[in-house]
Amino acid sequence: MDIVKVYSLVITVLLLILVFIVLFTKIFQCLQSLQIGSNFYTLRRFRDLAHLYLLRCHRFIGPLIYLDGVLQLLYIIGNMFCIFFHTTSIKNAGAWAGTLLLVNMSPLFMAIYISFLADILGISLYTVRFLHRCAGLMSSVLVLFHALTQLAGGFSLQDSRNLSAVLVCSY
Amino acid sequence: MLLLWRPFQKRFYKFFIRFHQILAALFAITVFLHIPSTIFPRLYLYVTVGILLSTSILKGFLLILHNGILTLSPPKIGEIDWFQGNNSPIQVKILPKRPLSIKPGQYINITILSFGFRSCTQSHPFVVALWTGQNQSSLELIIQPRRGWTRRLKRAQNSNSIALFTGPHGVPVPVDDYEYIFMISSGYGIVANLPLLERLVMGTISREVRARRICLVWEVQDEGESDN
Repeated sequence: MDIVKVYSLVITVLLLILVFIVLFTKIFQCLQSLQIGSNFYTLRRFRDLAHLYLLRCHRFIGPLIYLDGVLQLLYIIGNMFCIFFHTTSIKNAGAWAGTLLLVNMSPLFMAIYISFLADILGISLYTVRFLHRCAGLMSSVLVLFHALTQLAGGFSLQDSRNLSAVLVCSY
Repeated sequence: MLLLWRPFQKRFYKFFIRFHQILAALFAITVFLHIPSTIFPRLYLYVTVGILLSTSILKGFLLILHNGILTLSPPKIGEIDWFQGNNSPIQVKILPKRPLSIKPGQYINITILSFGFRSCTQSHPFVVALWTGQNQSSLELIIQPRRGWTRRLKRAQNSNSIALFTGPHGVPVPVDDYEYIFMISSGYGIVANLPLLERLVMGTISREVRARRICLVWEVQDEGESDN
């Protein structure tokens, strides 16, 4: 199994965990209404740990809390590891970046309305927007890296399919 | 680069969101045409399209179910009230088909069909301003009049129009768990805090919340805003 398949599997498992947490929370709420079960919502206290600012709110940037910063860093490291794991040349790394792009663009197209996606995953709209922004920026970087490495390696722009992909992605 | 600039996005939001959606669709199509037609790279795209279709079908199903489209009894606008003045708030009541369970701080997305074709393609999010603690047969919204859709809502005389909605959306804020609560809002942002305050007051009376002290800071630009 290649590294991109492992990466896509990890992303799928993480998303499924979120969906199952929503389902289990609904079941717990039903049980609580029947006076069964303990105080499940004490787990929410862990969220308080995330309210420390890494970067405070400025005019054009921020705010960024520690948890968001750590998640972004892990996301970048994970993608870089997948690109450069067992690669022999920069062109090969560019090809991996192209395949990785297909996995990273998946969260961008999961639902037409992100508020509905937030409900399905049981997370706030702020978090969904944050994930959408991260995946979008990562996809842009991967597209750029893929296009530059393939162009440097003698990639043909005569083919209309390649040309249209480069033109649209450049926007 | 201009589209990435947040003040531009806020100023021309409708243009930005449509342009963003068109570019996203073009991006997906060109990527599909560009990748080799072997199973593996294409499978990633098929999975994405499968998820998009599933969520769209589920959303469509919930829209039909909540709005009673099959039984031909869609939700309607109950009352539209506003105070005198250009910037005075509009108070709208939506009457859903059956009572809805709303948690404090949740919002709904509304589409009003009688405002023309363009408004059929738009949905506008509003926090449910009144929280009663029971299933609600009337959803009260307090809306700031802006230039387009909300200005038309203020002018609308027919308060019996069909108002399709989705939701309630949003993760409820767990105000019950905290002893000291500090709330900040500016202008119409106070509307998002009203249901939380109602929850805190009702919870304090019934001894369901831990709140000992609540501090609310509300910044208003002119005195008339707070009077309204």
